[in-house]
Amino acid sequence: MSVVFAFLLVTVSFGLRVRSGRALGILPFGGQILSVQYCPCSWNLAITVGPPVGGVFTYEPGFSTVRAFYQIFRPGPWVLGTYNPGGSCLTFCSWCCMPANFPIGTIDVVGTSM
Amino acid sequence: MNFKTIFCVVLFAIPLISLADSESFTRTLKLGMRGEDVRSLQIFLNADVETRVAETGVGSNGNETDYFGPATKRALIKFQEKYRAEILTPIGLVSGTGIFGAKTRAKALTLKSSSQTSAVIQASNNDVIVMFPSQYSGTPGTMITISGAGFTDDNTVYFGPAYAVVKAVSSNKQTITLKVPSVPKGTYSLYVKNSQGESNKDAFFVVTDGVTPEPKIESIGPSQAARGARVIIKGSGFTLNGNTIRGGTNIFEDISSADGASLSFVVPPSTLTATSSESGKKVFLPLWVYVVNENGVSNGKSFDLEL
Repeated sequence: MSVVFAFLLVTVSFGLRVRSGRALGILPFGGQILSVQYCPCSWNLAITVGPPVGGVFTYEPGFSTVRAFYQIFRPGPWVLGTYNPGGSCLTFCSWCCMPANFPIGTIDVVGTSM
Repeated sequence: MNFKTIFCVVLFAIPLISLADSESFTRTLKLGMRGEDVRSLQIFLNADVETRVAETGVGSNGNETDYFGPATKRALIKFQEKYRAEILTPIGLVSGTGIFGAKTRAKALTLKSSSQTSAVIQASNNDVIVMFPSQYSGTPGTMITISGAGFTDDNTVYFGPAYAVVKAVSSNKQTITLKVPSVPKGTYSLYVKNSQGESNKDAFFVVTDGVTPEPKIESIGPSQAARGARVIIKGSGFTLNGNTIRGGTNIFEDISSADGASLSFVVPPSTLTATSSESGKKVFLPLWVYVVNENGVSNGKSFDLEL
């Protein structure tokens, strides 16, 4: 019984997505986009940003705001913005969603180079 | 080992397995090959000053391509020899091969995943970085602000190697405001030198003459496109050759416009593909497109890419 409960708990937790309030976007980040990964089970993107203040951040369609010059979907451009802690990038396995990357935050607002 | 122990081991191994599968380094790469994974490899190599593909121009930081050429091979050999003990020695080699095979990919993935899972990457305080100018075109005398990092109170801002604005002040180390110098019309690499070093050179600025109209995008269609679709740009001021389309997920260089009023490009089928099956739910990303040529930089227009 406990095994079944653990199974359900972990499976469900993989599907959880952190959606913080917009007002919390106070943590700055900035650097060059190193890679962009589509996360098909969480319907978002994991964007890896290099120095000076980088990490892996998720772009959430409908939540993250991108400003000029809007180039956030390919490696190369430089970005400056704010993020909220938490986020997930999930991919499919045969029977559930599971992490494909480990973001440190979800993009709130970001401006980019061309 | 009972069933519960086996179950827990499998359960907690799943995220690690999925992380490894999600990386873009999944096939052997070698001289002459093309693909987005080649671009990822070049970006990865350029992240280490000891294994850069090129210092300037094609293949350099910010100018990576999808082609595995001789420069990529040389950089990969440097990488293999830097980590000789883990890549070459186990298979009885002394010198790098320039082939991105299983051993090399395994080392690259180890380094890549360790950098991705680190909380926040911090650069050296001495790094000089040019991120972007406030606008990408203008006549001499136009005031622009460059955003970046590592600026001092005495910067030299270069417009290509031949022209510079000296003693450009930054009061906050993150921005420099200056007038575009009187230089001939053309596209210039925009970079900064100061006592802390020299910046990256992937930013650009198009100096215009104020007479020749800059390119202008009137419309872009279709409004929604899938991977592999052809996108048509209608407008004015496109040149016969040498238009660069900055298309959201890719940069298309030296695109021709026979009539000066239309351009097109194909969204590469490999754009943002996932390693697992499709979700069934449609996701739309707004891709903004700009046209850059010798006469300037266009306004932006967007279309939705369906994933």
